[in-house]
Parts: sequence; structure tokens; C-alpha cells
Amino acid sequence: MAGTLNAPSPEIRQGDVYDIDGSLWIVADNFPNDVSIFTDLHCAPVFSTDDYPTLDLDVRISRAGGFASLGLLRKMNKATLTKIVTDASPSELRSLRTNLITWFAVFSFDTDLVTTLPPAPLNEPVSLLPGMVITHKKGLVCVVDHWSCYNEYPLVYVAPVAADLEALTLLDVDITSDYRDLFGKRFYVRTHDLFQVERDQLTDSLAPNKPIPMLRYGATRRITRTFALKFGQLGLLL
Amino acid sequence: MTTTTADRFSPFDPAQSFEFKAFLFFDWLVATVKVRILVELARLSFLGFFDRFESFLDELQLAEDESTSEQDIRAVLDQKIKLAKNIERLVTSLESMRGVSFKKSNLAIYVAGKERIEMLGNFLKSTALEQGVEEQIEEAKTDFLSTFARRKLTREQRALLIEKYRKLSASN
Repeated sequence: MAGTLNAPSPEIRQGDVYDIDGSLWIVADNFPNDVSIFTDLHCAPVFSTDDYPTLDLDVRISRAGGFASLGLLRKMNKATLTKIVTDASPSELRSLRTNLITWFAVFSFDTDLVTTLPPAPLNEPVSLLPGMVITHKKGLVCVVDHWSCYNEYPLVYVAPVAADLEALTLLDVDITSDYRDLFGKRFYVRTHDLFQVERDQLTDSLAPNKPIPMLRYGATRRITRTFALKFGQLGLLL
Repeated sequence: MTTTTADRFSPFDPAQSFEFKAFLFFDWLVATVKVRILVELARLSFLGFFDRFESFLDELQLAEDESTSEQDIRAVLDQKIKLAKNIERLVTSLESMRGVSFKKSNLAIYVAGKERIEMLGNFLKSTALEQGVEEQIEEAKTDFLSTFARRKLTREQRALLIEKYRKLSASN
């Protein structure tokens, strides 16, 4: 797709690049794009290499003249995605999908990776791991960011943990088998509402010497699968 | 030696049950001769199988909840895939029954019930979805292991990442 189209896009596809208020954003989601109950979706900013250095999982988008910064995903309202500029090539789209799955699944690849987690520096006593449930200033959240945990990035993706949801979606993961309260509520990790927090803010909110609730592998894997549904190419199966 | 969920997990596959085999037998018979007693036997066989199917799903869920490794998760999914193959045969049989009118509806609805047929269809869909998801995770794993040697951020990269994040947060 070449050139700029100003008419509203009839469908929003993963890999489409939009101009939002003068900045370029690439659509990272694949699953809920044409599902009307989801009014937002996640996009990654597109930066030029002169502006900002690429990180390992960032994906070059040649037709946009830059790269998709997967470490800075944001939720965007679909209504703001009207000014499509270009899109990713098929090979770039493939990289976008696999790199996003890597970002949210690297600890699922092999349990050996857990044991090879880089040692924490002395000034950072707390290691974050996917599946930790932490009370943050924005509420109860679950750490879902495998890549940042593995590499101790300064920013971490987390997803809200909500109780007794009335309208469940495919992107809400039931974690009640591992996380309970005294009132017998059902708890869910809302993967579609993932957002980023600074690592220090998250670790600072941990009480000293207090154990951190942690989901078991089964529930963490279910969350990982949901991200593969969100970012992967699985629409044909639905 | 430790015992993993994968080692322990060996629930009775409902597709190996007498009821499942009996249903497929009666299904063939009722398609040939629509005799009331055979229809009732097919119905009873199906309901017996369905009870086992629901219990099996509960056991799978429990096994998945208790999984502690990739091997455990794989064992649960393998069981689902194996069962899904047999359920496909069942759904095909029920589809052929839909063409036979019975008691103001069709034979499939009378024998199995609309909701149960939907549940079987949903099981097939969700298993296919899980299988697709696992294949994508496996693909990403291969890419990861073959592509990425450098992972840690430099001090400069960390500072720039935080700076960009704060800038984006301020503008949103």
C-alpha cells in the first residue's frame, strides 16, 4: 500500500501504520481489531533510527521509514485510527507477530530460561517474574512482561487483575485456581488492558519481607496463550 | 524422583468408553432403520458419553491449573487433541442425523440436544485454537533461539527508553 489515504479505514489490520497527531503508530493487535466490543487496540510507535536506537525485538518497517518500538506499546482508540499511511511488508508483519509473542512468552519457551535469568544487580534486590500479582497504585496488576523481566528492562507491561467480571471476553484469563480472596470471588487477568509501568514504581510498591502472590505455570501459560491470540495470526480459527 | 503432572495425568478418555462406541454403532443403525427403541438406545449412549466428556473436561482443567512445566501443559493439550479427533467423528454422525426429521425437529436434536451439540463444537474450536496458539509460540521460540544473541540494554538505551516512555505518557 503506497501513499496516504485520508478516508476512514474500513478495517484495521495488524501492521497498518497510522498517522495520529503527526506521529506514526503501527497496529500491534491482530485479534480484536474487527470486534466491536473492543473499542481500543494496542499500537507501537514508529521511530526513525536517527531519533532513537532500536532494541532487540523492534521491527524495521521499511515503508514507514523507521521501526516499530515494541517496548512502548500503547492502547489507542479505534476512532483515532483514520489516517492510514502505509503498512508493514509480509516479512515485517511476520517478525512483528513472532517478536510480540516472544515478548510475552519467552519464559514459556523452556523452563531452563528461568534458571538462566540474569542475576539482579545489588541495588535491585527484587526480581520481577511473569505471573506475579502486585498491588500497584493503579490497582491490582499481574506482571505479564516476559521480555522485560528476563532482561530487567526499566519498563514493565502489566495487566489489571479484576474480580467477578460480568461481561467476559476471550482475552480475560481466569486465575482463580491460583489467586483467591476470603470472599470466594473469581479473579481474571485482563490481557487486553495491558499497560506499562516503570519497574521501580512496581518494585517500590512491594512490602519488605512480604511474599508476593505468584501464579503457577498453568495460569501463566494461559495468559501467554491469550497474548498469542491477541498478537498472533489466529483469526481464521475463530 | 519427582512426579510431574504429565506423569500423573492419565484420565479415562471418554472416546474409549462403551457409551461412545455404542453411540457410533446405534447411529449407523438408526440411520438405516428409524426404529424408536434404537433411537432411545442411541440417545442413552450419547448421554452416557456426554457425562464422561464433561467429567473429562473438569479433569483437564484441574490438570492445567496444577501444571508446573511446559511438559505438563503439552500433556494436557495432547489429551485434548486426541479427544477432539474422536469428537469430530461424533459431530459428523450428528450432522448426518440432522437430515432425519423426528418429533417436530430432527434426530440429532432429539438424541443429543442443541446445547450439547454446541458444546462439542466449541470444544473442537477451542482445541484447534489452543493448538494454533502453541504452534505460534513454538515458532517464536525457534526464531528467538536462532536470532537473538544480545539482550541486555546498555545504560544509554535504558535512559532513552525511560525518556521516550515519559514523553509519550505526558502527551497522552
